[in-house]
Amino acid sequence: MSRNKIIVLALMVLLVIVPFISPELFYVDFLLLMFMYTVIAAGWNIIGGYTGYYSFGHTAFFGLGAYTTAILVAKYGVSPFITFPLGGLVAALFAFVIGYPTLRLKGAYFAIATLSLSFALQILALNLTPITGGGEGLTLPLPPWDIHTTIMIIYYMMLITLAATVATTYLLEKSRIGLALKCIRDDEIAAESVGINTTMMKFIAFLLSAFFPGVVGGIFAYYATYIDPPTVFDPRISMFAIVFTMFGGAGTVTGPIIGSAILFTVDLLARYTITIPGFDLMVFSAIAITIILFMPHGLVGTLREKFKIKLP
Amino acid sequence: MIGDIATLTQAIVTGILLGGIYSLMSSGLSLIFGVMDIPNASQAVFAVLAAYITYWTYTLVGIDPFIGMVFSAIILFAIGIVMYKYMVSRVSGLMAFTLLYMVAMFLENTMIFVWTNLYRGIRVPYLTGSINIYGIYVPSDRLAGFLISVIGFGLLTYFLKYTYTGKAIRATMQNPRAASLMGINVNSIYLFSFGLGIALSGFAGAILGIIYPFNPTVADEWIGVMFAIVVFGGLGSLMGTFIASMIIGIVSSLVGTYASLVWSPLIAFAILVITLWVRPSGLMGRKV
Repeated sequence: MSRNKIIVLALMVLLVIVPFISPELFYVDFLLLMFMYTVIAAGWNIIGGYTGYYSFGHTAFFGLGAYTTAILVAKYGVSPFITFPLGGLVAALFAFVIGYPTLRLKGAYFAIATLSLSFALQILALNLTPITGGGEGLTLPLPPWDIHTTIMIIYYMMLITLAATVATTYLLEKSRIGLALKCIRDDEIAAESVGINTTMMKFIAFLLSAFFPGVVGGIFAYYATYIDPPTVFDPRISMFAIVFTMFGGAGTVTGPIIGSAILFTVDLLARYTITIPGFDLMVFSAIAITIILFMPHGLVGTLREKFKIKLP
Repeated sequence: MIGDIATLTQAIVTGILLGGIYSLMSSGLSLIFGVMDIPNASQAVFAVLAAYITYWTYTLVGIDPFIGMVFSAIILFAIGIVMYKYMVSRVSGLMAFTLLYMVAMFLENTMIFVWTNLYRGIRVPYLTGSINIYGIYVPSDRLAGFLISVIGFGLLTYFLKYTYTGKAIRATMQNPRAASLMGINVNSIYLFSFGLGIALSGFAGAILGIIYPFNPTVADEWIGVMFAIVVFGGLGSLMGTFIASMIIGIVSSLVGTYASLVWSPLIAFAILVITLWVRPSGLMGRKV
């Protein structure tokens, strides 16, 4: 076994046993939220990092997944374990529908279109009261287990989704599809001229990229037991996905993971040390500006270039 | 029946007033977008900043808002120049958009941090009440805002059409390479247009601050409307921006009157998405 495989395996084992060795539930709670953001970031990475189409509205997919689970569980009593993947499918379906008009757009136009669509979805969720409960939000039934078991179950659901997302990205990176996506990012016209079906490839990337955030959106709704439009369609979710990935390294497998691990901790510390509203996002956007100006390839890219460390 | 016509006229007049103000608000974005091909995501946040500057110079020092407006536009011009020189000129295209989005987030949250989320409004004592023209009410603060906006927009059009710098800006808009071959210093045109674009949103922000109550997060709503107008009007066309502002102003006013106010913010987004879908170059823009 190579050294990399041993590290990955050790990390996996550690994450699996964390809920049993953690002294307080707080750390489990913290980790599961970190996993959630990592999934959204890794999902964003597929369309933003690999394909070069910066979506500024990934919160839309998260929110759609959350509402799918909330509506099905609260109103129809469907088992949440069915609704989680279903939320992902709904998000992917939405990506399919909006992909048709938006994926033809280049660069910043795509960013503007996705940003607007996520705002539009929030307004819709606020006003389609019969379906979404409007501004009052939706309350889900409490999970049937005690708090400790519930958090553990949610933790493992998030961990499984995270593992699936990372595995997908890894396989994508190794496959011809991943190569095609990178090709589109570097030069779309050239990609087309060597026979890559760019439309098809972009759709694959966009659908995959929407699916995983949709799944964790559903898990989040079940975990929070209450959702409303400003929480699940929060523009800061899209922003986190972009900044986490860019900080770690866009278009790399490990980038979103490293970026989320570091920046989510920073964000939490900022929020706990100075509790005046606005402070955490101030720190956060300052970090983002610094990355864009001075470290455009992210941590992984810098490690690769300057220190010759090979990271996937 | 008469009542219906009065309601309709009232809605259209309100829409025209709104559209006029929108046109000045979006002109800065349109200019920067047209010249540099960068959709400046921080435009609306700077408008809010201008509203705050006007508000504070009025409440603390007692400077008249219409003078404070000029003052805040000058400050924004300086900020724009510095920002272009040290940040925006280092990146391009999509990265520039991301950078400016993050600058917007930074400023918005700094304003929340410093001035909280409380709604504030600039109350001009001599602009209260409204004028009644044949049964149609025209609020005087909106009318003043409309007139300033339209005059400002007219001056901008004149400047771009007939002055040397204006012509240089338009030449750069059409083809930066050819412009630089004709002896235009394209870099200083970029610098100047960026400062001017942000200063324009400063005027509009102060006017909006007089008409509506504001807090730092209203920037999210304004930027949506601005993008919709500029994309719908067409990239690099100020005339298109003006027409699009009027259409979006009137349509949102009509929807607000006849359907419900909650749907009028959706109009801008719907128009934006449909434009990008059907005709990405907009009403009068060049091909994208």
